Amino acid sequence: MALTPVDGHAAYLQQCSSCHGVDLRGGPNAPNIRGVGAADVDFWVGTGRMPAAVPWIEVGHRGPSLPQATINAIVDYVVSVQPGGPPIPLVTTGGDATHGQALFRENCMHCHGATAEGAPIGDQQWAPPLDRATVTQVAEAIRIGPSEMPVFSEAQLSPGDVDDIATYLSDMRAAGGFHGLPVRSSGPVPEGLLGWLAAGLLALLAYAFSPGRKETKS
Amino acid sequence: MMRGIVAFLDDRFGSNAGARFVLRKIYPDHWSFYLGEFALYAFMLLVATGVWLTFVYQANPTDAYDSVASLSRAAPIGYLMRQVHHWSAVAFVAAILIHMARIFFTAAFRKPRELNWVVGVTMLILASLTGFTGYSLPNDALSGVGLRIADSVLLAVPFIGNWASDVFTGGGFPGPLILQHLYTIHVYFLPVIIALLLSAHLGMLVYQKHTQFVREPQNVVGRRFWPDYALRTLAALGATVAVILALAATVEINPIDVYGPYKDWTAPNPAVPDWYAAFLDGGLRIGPSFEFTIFGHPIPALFLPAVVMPLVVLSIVIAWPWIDAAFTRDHAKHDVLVPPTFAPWRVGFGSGLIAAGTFLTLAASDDAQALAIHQPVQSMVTFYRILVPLGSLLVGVLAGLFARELRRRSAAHGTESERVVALRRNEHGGFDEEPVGSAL
Repeated sequence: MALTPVDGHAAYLQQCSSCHGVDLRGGPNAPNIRGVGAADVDFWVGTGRMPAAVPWIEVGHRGPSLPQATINAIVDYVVSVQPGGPPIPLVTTGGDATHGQALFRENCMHCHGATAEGAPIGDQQWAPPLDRATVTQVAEAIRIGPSEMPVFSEAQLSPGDVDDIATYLSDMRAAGGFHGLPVRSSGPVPEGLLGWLAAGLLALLAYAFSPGRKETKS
Repeated sequence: MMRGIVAFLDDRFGSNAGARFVLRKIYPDHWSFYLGEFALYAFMLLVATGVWLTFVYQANPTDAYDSVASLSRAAPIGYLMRQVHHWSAVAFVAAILIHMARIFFTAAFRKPRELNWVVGVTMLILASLTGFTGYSLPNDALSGVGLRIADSVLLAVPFIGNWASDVFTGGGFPGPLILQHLYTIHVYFLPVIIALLLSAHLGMLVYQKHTQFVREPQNVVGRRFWPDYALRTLAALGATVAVILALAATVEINPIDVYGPYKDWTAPNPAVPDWYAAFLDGGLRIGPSFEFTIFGHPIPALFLPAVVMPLVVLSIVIAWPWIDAAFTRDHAKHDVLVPPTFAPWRVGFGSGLIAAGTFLTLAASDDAQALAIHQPVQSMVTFYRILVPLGSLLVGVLAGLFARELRRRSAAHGTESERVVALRRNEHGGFDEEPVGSAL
């Protein structure tokens, strides 16, 4: 099939308008998205969180459910209705991973966990794992602050800082994923279980190798 | 050669009598008597590796993190030392509890050994404190959060809290002195007390002789230290070292380079302390948000779960020999152990206490569990608020009933190991059994 330009307006009407409205002003189940910016639309649709199957149930990153050309067309259409908002950030992974790690610890670790494996943040909310997010999506989230996440402005994290964080994350992923040995990064819970297994194993060894019979005097 | 050395020492110190006493000491032959030894050998590993770690550790806020993190980057042996040290600590406290459960359920704490129980429980508390202070020394983001909580608990103690916290930190958390204080407490203070108590523990054991399962109160039945028991205890030492080394060589513990150095504004998520301190964290997480005033002095909600709860539980555990004696109205001396089923109510109480501790420990990772089953954290809190009192009660009652049923069955039928009978030839050429008592 030849590549034909996708009609953003038509795609919007088909995929988004039932909740966000034909005028983009939102409705009972969806927010007003006039002027939210390209980064916002690209993040929500690009991670597959939108279009939502059930509007009031938040899902994690499940991969885009629309072709990239359609996503781009919808982004362009939403921006064309009312410009403004953060643009899609340009990210490189040629930054300083060490600096990125320090920034990650100070800005991201509280919620996403030390190795970005995701973690609960109270109530029904959880910060998602970042293993499926592209570096562009990470940068978009930093700028738009989806759901519970705060917005980080360029005064807080410069574009160079975001590049460093992206570099750190992509380096970590390249170095055998986020986890390494399963227990690394998981912290004291599995460590404690293993410690108990070790002590229990010693008790079992004592049971197995000791004569164990009670000696009665003959 | 050996003979010469022995003669030399005996000429000068008269050491042969002492050596004879030690080498001839009888050790009862039951597997559960090795449980305490695993704790002893874990402690020896801790001292050996801990001394090594003091060579590199810098007890000040600027250098502490790097001095430990550099171990894993630059010094392979140092890294192994730290791994062995931390794994030993985690297994040490577990081994103490397993040993203690055996002492409890077989009633080895009864007169005349009450004081040795007290010494043992004190060592358990000190071992946990040593563990927590050591875990806090690297000044990483995870343990820093734990210290912050510990400091908050200290501040929640009425009347002396502020003062104690200032002394501990050197003024304001994290404070300039906190690591120096932790270092001294962890490296000099607590281990020396543990070593002294350990000597008292073993000294009392030798002086009062072992308990045993054999009904033979005048003699301890078992094996002599030399050559039987010496080889067995060496095997226990070897097993302890092997298991801990295997863990240390294969599974990374406390990866502080993942968490990063502690700063006031950083924290990993989720954050849990090492397991032996987790029951306190669990208590804090599910404790009621209940604040009150004493003489106009406000008492923060931390005080009840983090200070009063452990103090009450530990007081009961420490006083258990006397509580037990009052319950059973049994103030006689006992050198013979009972099987756990002998006293179902004791089984029930002990199991209930273990269950409560386990549930509180699990409550410390309620957020991770909530994430795993996609439920709100608050429902996990509610779940544990119900589970800790009711679940523990249920476990205690069921364990007690189970023990009672086992006792009833063994009383009705007797088991081979418990029944001692005399066989007598009768006039028909067969044998009659005459009960002469129980081996237990």
